Amino acid sequence: MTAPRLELRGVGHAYGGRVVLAGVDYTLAPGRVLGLLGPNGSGKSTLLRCIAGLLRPRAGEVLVDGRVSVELPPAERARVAYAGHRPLLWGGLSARENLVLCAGLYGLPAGLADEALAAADLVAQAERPAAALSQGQRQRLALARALLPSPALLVLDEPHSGLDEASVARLDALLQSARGNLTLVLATHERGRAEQLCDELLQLEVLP
Amino acid sequence: MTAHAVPFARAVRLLVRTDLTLERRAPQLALAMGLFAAVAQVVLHYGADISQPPVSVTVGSLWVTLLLATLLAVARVFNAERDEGLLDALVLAPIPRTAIWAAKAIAITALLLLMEVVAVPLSYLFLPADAPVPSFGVLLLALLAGDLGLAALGSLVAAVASAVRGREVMVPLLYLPAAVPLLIAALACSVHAAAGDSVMRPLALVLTYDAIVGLLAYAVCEHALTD
Repeated sequence: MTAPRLELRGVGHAYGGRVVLAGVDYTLAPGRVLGLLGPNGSGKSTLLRCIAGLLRPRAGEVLVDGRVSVELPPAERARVAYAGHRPLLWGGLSARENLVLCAGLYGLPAGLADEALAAADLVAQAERPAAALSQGQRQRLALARALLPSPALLVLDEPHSGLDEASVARLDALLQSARGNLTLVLATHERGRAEQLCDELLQLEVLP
Repeated sequence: MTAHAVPFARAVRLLVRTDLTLERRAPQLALAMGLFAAVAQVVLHYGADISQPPVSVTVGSLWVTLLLATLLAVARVFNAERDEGLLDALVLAPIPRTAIWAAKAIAITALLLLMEVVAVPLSYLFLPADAPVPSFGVLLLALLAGDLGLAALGSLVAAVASAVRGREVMVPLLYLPAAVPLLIAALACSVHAAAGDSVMRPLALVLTYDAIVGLLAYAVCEHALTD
């Protein structure tokens, strides 16, 4: 039996006194796509930050390949990539400079930036500041940045938010081209899109 | 080609270069700090209503200016990054998280040195005409050691506060009291330098403070930057 890529064991979190997650258990095998569904306030973003290792849950633990996500040593952090509501891009740097910086921070050659730009169909925008790109272009650049280090687990927080249909299609095409053995966890409001993209769904509810 | 952990020095170099590139392209912070330094020096001089202020008053006003300017810089280079989510990108990267602190401290030090290009000549304009001319090298060393301490402390406090709500309030509340010992030593160092005296003892104190902040940052940054 394949070892799980991601294990959620009784994950819970609260902000102040408000509990947003309680006792979430889930196991995800490598190469699977998990969609997190739920209304605003159901803890989707919180759970994604816990999975990415950006937030330590108040209860339970998140394991990536058997190791606690928030305690991954530097050498193993590249296994997890995250793109949130905000694109995690330096607005004053060009698209290429953002990817070159990312390559440098992951110990990869700068030349990979050009390959990533081509894969994201952003060659024509390579020298434009990230802040000057359209919403769809920024999302594709954010995804290219997240995919650059070839992560084993990709965590996406509402990647289609604010995009028109054409941009959604291009983003999904980029995601499809990156599949392979990539394990993907993404949050979305849209059940239809989730059913289309995901192998498994996890419904979260707003806790009383 | 697989990603791998990036050594401390390389990560610091990349991040400092990024911060300074961004500041060069849109130098709002450098301009704000320079203007603040000029206004503060003039207001402190004329507000004190002393026609021939002693060296300690002039140098003291310079350090108060630097202290407050560091707060400006910390808010810009650290909290702005947090607000835009860029800190998440850095926290997830396979780099020692202490490198994030060190890079921010170096970038702030560079900005403080730039600000001193305005502030130091201005403060010397207000010295008594018969004040001794300090050795430029000694003064630069004293300023650099003090700047490093202020910047290192500011970055550390910002890193610790970055994960909590109300960090805009937390940063000055933690930073200002913690900076007092450094400020006293840096002031003594600068006054000695301005008077042409030996700066060895106060400089040793400033460097000791810098080293302690560095050790603290090494101990806490790995964990402080996650929520």
